[in-house]
Amino acid sequence: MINRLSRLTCVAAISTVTLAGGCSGVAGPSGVVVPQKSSVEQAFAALPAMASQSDALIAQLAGDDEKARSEARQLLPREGIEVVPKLVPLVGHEKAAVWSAAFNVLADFANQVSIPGREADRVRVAACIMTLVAPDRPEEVKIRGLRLLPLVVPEGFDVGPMAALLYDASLQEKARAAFEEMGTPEASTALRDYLPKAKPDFQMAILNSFARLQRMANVQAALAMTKSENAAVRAAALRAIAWTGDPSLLNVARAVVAVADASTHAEAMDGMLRLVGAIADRGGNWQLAVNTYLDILKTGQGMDRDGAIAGLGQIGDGTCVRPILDAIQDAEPHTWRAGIGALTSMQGVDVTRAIVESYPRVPRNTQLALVSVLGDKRHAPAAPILTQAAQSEDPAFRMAGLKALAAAGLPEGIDLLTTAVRAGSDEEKAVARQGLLAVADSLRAAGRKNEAGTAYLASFDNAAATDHDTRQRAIEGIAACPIADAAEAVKAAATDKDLRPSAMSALLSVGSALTAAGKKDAALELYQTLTQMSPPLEIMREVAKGMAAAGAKVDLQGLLGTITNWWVVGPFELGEENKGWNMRYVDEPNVNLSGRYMSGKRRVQWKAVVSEDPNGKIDLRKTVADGEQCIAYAYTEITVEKPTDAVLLVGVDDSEKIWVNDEQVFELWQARAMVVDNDRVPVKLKAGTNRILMKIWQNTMGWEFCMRITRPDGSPVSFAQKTE
Amino acid sequence: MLIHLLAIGAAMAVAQATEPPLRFERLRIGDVTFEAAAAFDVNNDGRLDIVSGGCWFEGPEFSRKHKIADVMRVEDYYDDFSCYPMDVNGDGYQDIITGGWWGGTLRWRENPRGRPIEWVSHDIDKCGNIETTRFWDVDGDGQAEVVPNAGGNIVVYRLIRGPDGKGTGRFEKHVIKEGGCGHGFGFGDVNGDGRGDFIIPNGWIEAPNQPYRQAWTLHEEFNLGTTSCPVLVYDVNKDGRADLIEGQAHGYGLNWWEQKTGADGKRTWIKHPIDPDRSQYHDLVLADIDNDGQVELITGKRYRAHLGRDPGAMDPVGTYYFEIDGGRFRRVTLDYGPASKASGVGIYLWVADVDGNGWKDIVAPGKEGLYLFRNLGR
Repeated sequence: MINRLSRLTCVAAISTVTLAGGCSGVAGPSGVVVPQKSSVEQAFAALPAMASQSDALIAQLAGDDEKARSEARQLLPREGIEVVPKLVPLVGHEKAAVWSAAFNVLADFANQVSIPGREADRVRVAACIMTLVAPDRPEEVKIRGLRLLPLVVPEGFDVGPMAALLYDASLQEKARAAFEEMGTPEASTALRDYLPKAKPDFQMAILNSFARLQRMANVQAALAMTKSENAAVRAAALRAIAWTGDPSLLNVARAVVAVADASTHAEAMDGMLRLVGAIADRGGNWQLAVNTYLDILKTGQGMDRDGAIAGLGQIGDGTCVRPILDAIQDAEPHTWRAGIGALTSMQGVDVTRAIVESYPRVPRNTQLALVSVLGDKRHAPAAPILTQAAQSEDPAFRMAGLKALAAAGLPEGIDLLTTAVRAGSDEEKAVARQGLLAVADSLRAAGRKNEAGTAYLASFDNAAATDHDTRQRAIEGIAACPIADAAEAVKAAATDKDLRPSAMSALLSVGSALTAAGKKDAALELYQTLTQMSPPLEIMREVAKGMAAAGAKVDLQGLLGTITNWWVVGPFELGEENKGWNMRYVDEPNVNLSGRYMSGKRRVQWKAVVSEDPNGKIDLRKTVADGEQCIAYAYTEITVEKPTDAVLLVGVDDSEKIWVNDEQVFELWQARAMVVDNDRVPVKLKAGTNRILMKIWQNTMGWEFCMRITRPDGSPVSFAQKTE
Repeated sequence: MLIHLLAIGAAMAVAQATEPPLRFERLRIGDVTFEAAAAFDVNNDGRLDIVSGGCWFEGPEFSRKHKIADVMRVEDYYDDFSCYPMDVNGDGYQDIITGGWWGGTLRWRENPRGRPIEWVSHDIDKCGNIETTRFWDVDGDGQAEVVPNAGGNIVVYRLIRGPDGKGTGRFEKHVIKEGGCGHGFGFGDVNGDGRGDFIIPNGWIEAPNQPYRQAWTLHEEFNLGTTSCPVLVYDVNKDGRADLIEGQAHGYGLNWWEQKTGADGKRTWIKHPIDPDRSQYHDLVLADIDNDGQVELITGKRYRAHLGRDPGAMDPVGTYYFEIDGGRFRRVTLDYGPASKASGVGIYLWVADVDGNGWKDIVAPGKEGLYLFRNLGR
């Protein structure tokens, strides 16, 4: 590698020798670091031999092998900043590939050192790079330096060499941009120092930088420029101080605007409006800001008023409505649009009231626009205007009113939207149809369920039979916001297979609403409809509750296949090693309901129990014995018309054995609490009477069970129970 | 006699000032969101400090924050609806009287003599859910008593002072009225007999000669609804009769109630709307903010007073003062906008010349932040 060193790379290596400390700086009078000019030319003259890896990489970077250069470009940033002085000269290389690679590596170093903890390195690197803008550098090198310096120059670093470029007509703009990007106090100082000396165009550029930098230190200098002889400079100066939001600058702003000529009026007014906006943002002077906007609205022309209107749209309240409406009357279209936009964005019910109050006195085209504005406000005071518009003879108003009612989400809109769905033009119908749902959704979100239910019902009743989406949304809405009046609608929905799931929920909830309204017969009718739809178990359970609430005697068996009638006997000993589990205390699987058995020293016999529980639960602690570590038996008979594949759905605390028609079909030995439908036991029922016997283990605490019989698809089996 | 009439044509107008409005500088103090504040000299260095909830900020910069105590937080409330300065233990340092809804306890926090350590809290009484506490000279002895709006009662806690006039750390309790006192109350001389009376939502309670020994008399002459704390007693129209200024703490409206005498000699009250379109006016203060020798009404919105459930909860927040001119109220707005950009006034704002420039400033706490509106004059 070393043998292939070209003269240039040797020179780079020489740089290492002659600038052993890298680019360094000495402290200037103010204590800030002043970079020393590097003796690059001297370095090029010597030919030392250096074999470090970084030197080799630099040689690769400067060489003719593109691949090697690319590799060096990637690897050099991993070397220490000691390589920076060696890279700096390459920024002036004649070959673009070389200088751009060196540039990019230096940019990487600049970024590397610009993090907390690397302050000393940052100063060193900045000092090196600052040499690129030394007076004797070619212009293109200075430009490259100006691109690098903002990445690395820290606060407190002297930027004198850069400041000198402000005096160079071909470079001053780039220097300004670099200072703005740098943003340090020293950068601002350099710009401030040059400001009075600059030509007007460049003064404006500097002032625009001040506007972006937003440093208090620049404000006085900018303020001085508001008295410039040049109107454009005065306007730029106003923009440069507007960000402060200082109310004491309002008079300065007014003066600048007052003496602006035709070509600079817009810029001056822009500065004024920015200042007022900043006053409002800063807080505490809302009234002052609003009053200023209102003044501009009253006295300004054209775009001035648009700006003031836009400002009022941001911060205004109800007191600003009338002035805006006055200003846009007979105004240019762009001002009119600005006014409507402002009124749309202003918040608060006082704005709505003020618009409502002004409405009768504004021209018709403005009224039409205000209908939409009021719809978006969603405030009740707007309702009379919206309903009036929706009933207008004028189709444009009618349509605007319908759309606004839909947007407003007010219950006052329901009747008119319903009428429009029935009797409006095709376009009105379409708007009203969506509008009813929108109003319903809005009322629902606001917790106004009764009104929402009314709107959903209207939506459903007026939706075309083929409009599945609307009907679906409406029925779902009725399910969530049930009203008694929706009974017929939900019954109709139940006949539509596409609406089945939603209709079931709606039937349930409207049933509840009917019961609450005292219309129990109507409620039971809905529940009956629901049961005929073979709903899922969870809905069936709710039906059972609903029917009970409506005062009906609930046929759990019919609804859920629940077995409610049992005979139970016990308790019998579990015994040591749980031997009782396999003892045939009642001669199972045979059952003799007249039988008597010994339970300890007592005789026990079968007794009939009937469950009133919604799940058909039998509590054996209450019906048999309040004991632990024992056994009981439960027996029932059911009669079916024909042979039936069925499933026993059983919940037991703790565990059970089950026989059906003398055949054992299930056994589990596990301590557990009762979970309804937990054990699923497929069985085949024969036509006629089927005998079901359970042997139930009690561990501790709860001792209970429940059973349902369904078809494999979950629908209840129709059966008769033995009751005596 | 209960008569109140809604005055027709009562108008509220924004101040289109003949003079330019006052200028204010708004500063956010810390990042706290307690709803009560006060300004007083905590550490006796001669400079006012700002106190809010569980901390105080050292004047004049208010950038140094010191902890007072942990304050119970419930959702975005704090159990701290006042922080009134009172030298309870007579040691020459202002302590704080506080209490809130959830703790249901009136307490005082002992100033550690300005040292930057936590303050010790002492219970005064378990008086029920405290909406806020106000401080009025109920007995006319020149000292403020402590009166919480709590438990539906009017109960006065009077600091027991020694012969030297200094606080002893103990309070005596006087029950003025038990039950039937709803949300909101006020204090002032309604009937012009020189004694302060209490205002409650459904009437005013007339002070007897001996406020702690004789019964107070309720006159159910109006219905203020869910009214502000406080209801101000002030002769708005300068007719020699005390009127009331109240806000709806959890609804829309700011109103004044004009006291009149009917033909039959009975007292009547006429309601005049001041600002019907803004809501959650929970706290009101009368102070001369513009140094014109007349008091102005200083108030604003209590942001999220009921966590967004009140009417107008989504409307902008604001801080205002109203110039009062013979029954007309002209609103001057300091701040108005969304809570992310503007300030309301919480449940207990404070008006004082914090920076000593001769103009009264406004300390505006709230769930949207604690703000100081420095009054720079005109």
